[in-house]
Amino acid sequence: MFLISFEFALFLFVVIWLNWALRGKRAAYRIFLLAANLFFYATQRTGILLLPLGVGMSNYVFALLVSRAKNDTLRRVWLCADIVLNLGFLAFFKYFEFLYHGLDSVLVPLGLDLPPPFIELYFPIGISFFTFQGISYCIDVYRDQKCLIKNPVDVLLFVSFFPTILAGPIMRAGQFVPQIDKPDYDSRSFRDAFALILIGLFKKLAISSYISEHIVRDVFQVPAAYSSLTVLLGVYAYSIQIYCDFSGYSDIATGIAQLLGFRLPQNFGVPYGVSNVQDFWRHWHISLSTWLRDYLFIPLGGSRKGKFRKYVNLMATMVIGGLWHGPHSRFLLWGTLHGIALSLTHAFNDIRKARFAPGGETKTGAGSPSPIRAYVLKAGAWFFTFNLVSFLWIFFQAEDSARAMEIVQAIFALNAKGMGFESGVLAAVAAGLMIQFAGPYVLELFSKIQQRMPVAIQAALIALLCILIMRLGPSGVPPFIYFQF
Amino acid sequence: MKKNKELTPVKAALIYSIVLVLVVFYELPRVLSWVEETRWKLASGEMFESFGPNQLKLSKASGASDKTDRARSESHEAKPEGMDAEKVTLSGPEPAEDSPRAAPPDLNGADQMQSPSAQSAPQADKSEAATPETPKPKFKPHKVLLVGDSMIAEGFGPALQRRLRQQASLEIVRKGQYSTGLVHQEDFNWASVLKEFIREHKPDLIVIQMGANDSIDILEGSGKRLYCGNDPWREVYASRVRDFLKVASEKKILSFWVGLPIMSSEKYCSKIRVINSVVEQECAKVSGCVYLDSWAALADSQGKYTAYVKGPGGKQTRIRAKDNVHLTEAGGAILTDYFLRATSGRVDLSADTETDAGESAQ
Repeated sequence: MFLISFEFALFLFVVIWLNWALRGKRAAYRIFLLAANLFFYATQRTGILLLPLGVGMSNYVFALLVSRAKNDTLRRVWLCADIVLNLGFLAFFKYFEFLYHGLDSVLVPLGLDLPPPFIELYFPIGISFFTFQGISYCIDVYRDQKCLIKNPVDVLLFVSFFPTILAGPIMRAGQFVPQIDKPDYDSRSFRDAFALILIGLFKKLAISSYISEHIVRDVFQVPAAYSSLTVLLGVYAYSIQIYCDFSGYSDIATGIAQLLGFRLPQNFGVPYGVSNVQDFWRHWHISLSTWLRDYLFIPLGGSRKGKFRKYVNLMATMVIGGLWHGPHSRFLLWGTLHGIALSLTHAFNDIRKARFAPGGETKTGAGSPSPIRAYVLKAGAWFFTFNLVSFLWIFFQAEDSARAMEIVQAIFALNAKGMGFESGVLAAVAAGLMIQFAGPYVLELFSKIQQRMPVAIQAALIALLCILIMRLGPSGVPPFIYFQF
Repeated sequence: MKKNKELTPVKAALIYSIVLVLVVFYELPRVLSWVEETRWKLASGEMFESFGPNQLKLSKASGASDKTDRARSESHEAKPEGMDAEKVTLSGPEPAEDSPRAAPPDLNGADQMQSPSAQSAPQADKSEAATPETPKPKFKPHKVLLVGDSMIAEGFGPALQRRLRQQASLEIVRKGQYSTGLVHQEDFNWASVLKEFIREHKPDLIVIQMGANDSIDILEGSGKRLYCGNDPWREVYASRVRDFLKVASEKKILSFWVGLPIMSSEKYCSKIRVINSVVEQECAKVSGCVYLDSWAALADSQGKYTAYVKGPGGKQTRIRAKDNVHLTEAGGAILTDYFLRATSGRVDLSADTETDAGESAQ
């Protein structure tokens, strides 16, 4: 069952009514929500149901052991055991094939023949997301025992919450669990919920799917068939596609959660409106960026152990963040290049901080740049950042490094002869770029319009918009990109 | 007054319910089709087997859910008898009248092409099987149109396009449409779409691969269900294949229909074989259409489904996507090899001397 399907629409209908009918009845509500979560996940494939249950229960047990350990050493042991177990789940399903082929690479030169992998593993959607949630809960308990959740069902609900289980946003237990008993909602949150669902559908169906079908897929498959301009547009288009796809999913998930009385963490800001890579990561997949910051970068020492160590930690965090997407050299390269870009940005900022005294004056006495110069500098920085991020997406999306180089070559070949693009692609890319800025205004406007309308008219308006958006989508909608991670 | 317009949980639920009803009302035919399909899936126990690379938008009847999706969740097994060599009768196409560049493809007669099932491995040399009985001048196309479902959109389609681009004088247009086929024609009618593609691009050769989404029952307008594989289903499906093929045939454009390769799931395999056999029969009836049996091209040495073959350096290389239906680029390259060998006696698709270095990496 996918988020964009009749099945899900009906499922949600039942869940919304039961959700509000049972809210306040502690045990009944928990049983209902857990059943809804598990039913939803089971529709992906029944057998994998054990996975979120296993991750939830193991984290519950280890967190309990961590909280009851008599000394620090034992606490560390239990925490390490929890992390190893969860990463073990993740590695088995996500990296098994990679490790198997690694073995093949070793055996073949020795003249040994390795048969094809003996098992064809089904990839459980969302495993990277809910295992990270589970780990964060145990680490939170290790850091502060007040974070301990006594009811195992609450941990299971946290790990398996159906709007987020497939692709986040990655939640924290301390934020989610209290909302089970105290729903966080008001009139505005419901209005925003409908608007978010519509915005998410628009991003996914009208922009992401359109761009995918009309330029990105073809350009990334056979770049040499297209003119340099088309390939360049294809690369920009992928930047927009992945943004609209993933943030569209996040919007829909957030909207659904808000209809049930849960607030989710923000997952996207304005990633293509920023003027440096550091800010890009403050606006892109925020729930993963903050997870990596809190549970990887800071434990590695963060910026507390000197500048050089900070840059190393940033590199390590980004490389691991890249590999989180999968065991491919392209993700490794993408993460590494982002790590380098991020470290250079931090280094640049460190130098600038050292050079400029508070108040905008340099230590050498020079004043701050004029407003026009500052504007030009900012526009230049934006242009550079957008192009850099788009360029790095090539390595993320291309089939392999050779294909990535083909794409780069196709751009710089300055070939005008190849196939061109449809004008609709330009419009979709522009719309995708603008929608990130327009999002908050659309929410505000939609809320104001709704406020003036009776329920039936509100519903009619939403239904009309929904139908219009569906009509804009292609005949077959590709799956959300982040479902593969 | 303002207080009345505050949204409460009940009002929010009510709005959602009204929206759902309105959308359902607007999409009623598709919803009824989905209800029927769901009822059938529940009865046959297939309800929770569906998962895959393509999903249908809300406006589509989910009953049209791909079998390609379903296949992902099923086990690897294939019928070995599917590997029996099938001979393909070629009917005689004539040069495209409206394409002045098209050289006359001399494909008349009872030429027969063997399927590559006799190969010892999927990547084995199949050139012998494709050797024509009598040397005839080959048709040299100038513009090739690749059409089909997701099998053309990924895997085979891109691999063939990349290979054909090595012939500098050849123009290639690829139109792969996800989640389409000949069973559900309400939203995407391939016959009229092909007509439009031909009008727009004026190809002199068409390569087709589709049917992966068609292993489902046909629901007629009257609500009557034609069970996939039964005689009535075959009749309706055959007529749709024929209508589709006639679009190219009437324009006297040579078309190659590449049959679907072996699949992992036994249940899915048996339906795909039905589809292949219907297509093969219809290709034999329509002038200018050649069916290429690719069933064994991606099978192992025992003729069974395999997701891996020994690639360069002897390493295991994945040739099927994780859904066990689609092809990876490596799998697409193998099928491209097969296609080029199988058609080498009829059309000249060989690479020019001056090849694109960037694309010769295949």
